[in-house]
Amino acid sequence: MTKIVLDVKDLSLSFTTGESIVSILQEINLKIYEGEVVGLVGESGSGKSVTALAISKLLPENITHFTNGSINFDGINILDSSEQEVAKLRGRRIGFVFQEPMTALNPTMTIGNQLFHVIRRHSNLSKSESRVQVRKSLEEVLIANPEIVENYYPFQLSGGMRQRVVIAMAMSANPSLLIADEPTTALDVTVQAEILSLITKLAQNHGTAVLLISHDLGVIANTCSKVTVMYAGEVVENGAVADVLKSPKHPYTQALIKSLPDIATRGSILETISGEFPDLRNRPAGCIYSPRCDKKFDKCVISPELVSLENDQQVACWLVEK
Amino acid sequence: MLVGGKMTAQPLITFSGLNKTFNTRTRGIKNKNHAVNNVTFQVNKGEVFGLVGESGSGKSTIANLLMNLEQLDSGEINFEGKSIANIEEKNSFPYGDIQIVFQDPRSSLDPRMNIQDIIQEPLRTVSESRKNDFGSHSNLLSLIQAVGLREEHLSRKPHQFSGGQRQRIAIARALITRPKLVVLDEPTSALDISVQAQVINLLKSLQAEFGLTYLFISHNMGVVKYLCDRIGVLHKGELVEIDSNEEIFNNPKMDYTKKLLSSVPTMFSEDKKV
Repeated sequence: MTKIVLDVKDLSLSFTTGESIVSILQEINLKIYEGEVVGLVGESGSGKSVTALAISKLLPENITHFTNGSINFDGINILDSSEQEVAKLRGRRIGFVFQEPMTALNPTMTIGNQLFHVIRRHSNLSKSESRVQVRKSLEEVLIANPEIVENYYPFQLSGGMRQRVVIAMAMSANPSLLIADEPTTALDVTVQAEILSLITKLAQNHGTAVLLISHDLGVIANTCSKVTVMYAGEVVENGAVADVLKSPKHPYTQALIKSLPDIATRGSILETISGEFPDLRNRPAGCIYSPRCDKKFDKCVISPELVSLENDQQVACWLVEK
Repeated sequence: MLVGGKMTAQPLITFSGLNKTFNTRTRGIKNKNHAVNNVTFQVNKGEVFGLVGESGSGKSTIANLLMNLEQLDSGEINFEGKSIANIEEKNSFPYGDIQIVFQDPRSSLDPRMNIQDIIQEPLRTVSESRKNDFGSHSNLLSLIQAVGLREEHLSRKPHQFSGGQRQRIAIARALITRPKLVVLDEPTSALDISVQAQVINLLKSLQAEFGLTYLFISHNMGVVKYLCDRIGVLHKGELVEIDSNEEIFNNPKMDYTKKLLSSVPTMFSEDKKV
């Protein structure tokens, strides 16, 4: 049995905005095993990134209230840990790759020096050993001629190369969990394919668990083994990629897939989701998706819980109640 | 309507031998970047012509050259038989006939203007007679209805709208002069999937309603496949392949087109890359 690296249970959190308190996440459940690549998919405002930031307690403390649930990372209770304890995990045991590599890198430092500092901070290697490690890390992310590239500044590299450097940094301390938040959104498709295969390969080689956040169902389908679908701060569906994307059970997942032009026939009218994203300050009562759902019935005034099906697919919808 | 059964393809706009280089400077060393290299194609009346390619391929430079926002080094752009390249006198450019919708409605709408002023602004660039034809309030109302907005929206400012609504406003602004050609430069890239579907449906229905021709610039192959009749593939400033939608997607000839298509992550590909 492989080890559970990350176990988020019934996590709820709110933000203070002005006078009011807005519930951002509601009872999020997320489990990632060693070496597994799990996708987190949803539209803007669905809570994908907040979930990722909550895992490493990177949310602004003064406005964030954890109201329920727990986050367990490698046996450590994150919510009960002090800032000092969590800071030790960041970068060392939890690696990050964000969307825009240019903002993640320091424009005034060479690639090699940035990587060197990260390695020095997170390992016990000597200065000269760290210099050797810099080149090894660059080689591992398939950068040719690392002895030349390490002297470059970020602006001298292409977007894809920059993202490789960021990945090298994130993986340099051999973390147990890699959080990749839209790592390829700023990149071209041909580069995207290379970066995604690099992430999955590294995860396999190092046994790293990966949380891949994306709004692109195609990216998720090609990279992940499991996927969690979020809507307005709630998990609506969860399971193996093959099950969730090929036979979605939640009306939101179904509608999302149908609204993709990729699989629609030309000339037909694309299916759309009626209505608008709910205002989180006034969460609709009952099922969060019900105001936009075309399969709504009387039971939807009560909020459904995630129900597990036989194939471990989980769905929060009264239609799939056993 | 011409769509579907086009018998004779009548060119609305032709681009011949477009060249554009930008002077760049890397660490003090002067360099030339050939952004658009000998590009020739035509867009026929009533069709949706897709221009695809990755960043740096020259897609947006072509749009800028067409809109007279950049000057051509050499080549010719003909709209309805008249040359419109490198027009120095801004007022001679047929802005009434050619309009553009940009990628990000957050930056393409002036935050200090209300929606009515934004939508009617292009009328300032057109002839007096066209202004009289389309500047009426009833024309404005029917247009905002066509793009799915309401009359009470007219007095609001852009920040009061969602991304999808803002793109509807940008589309209404492009259509106020009743153009023949609309350039769509990545019109759905900044939108969520479900909103993208709404905007695509809107673009299709408007095309039928107003008899529009679209030059659709995108890197999203899914949207291009769904929307475009003919497609040109750009790579490093050169047009490497032009063909019908069916040929490009089912029978691509050039290696680069094949590579581009195979890189697109699709949901139901049989061979998972993992």
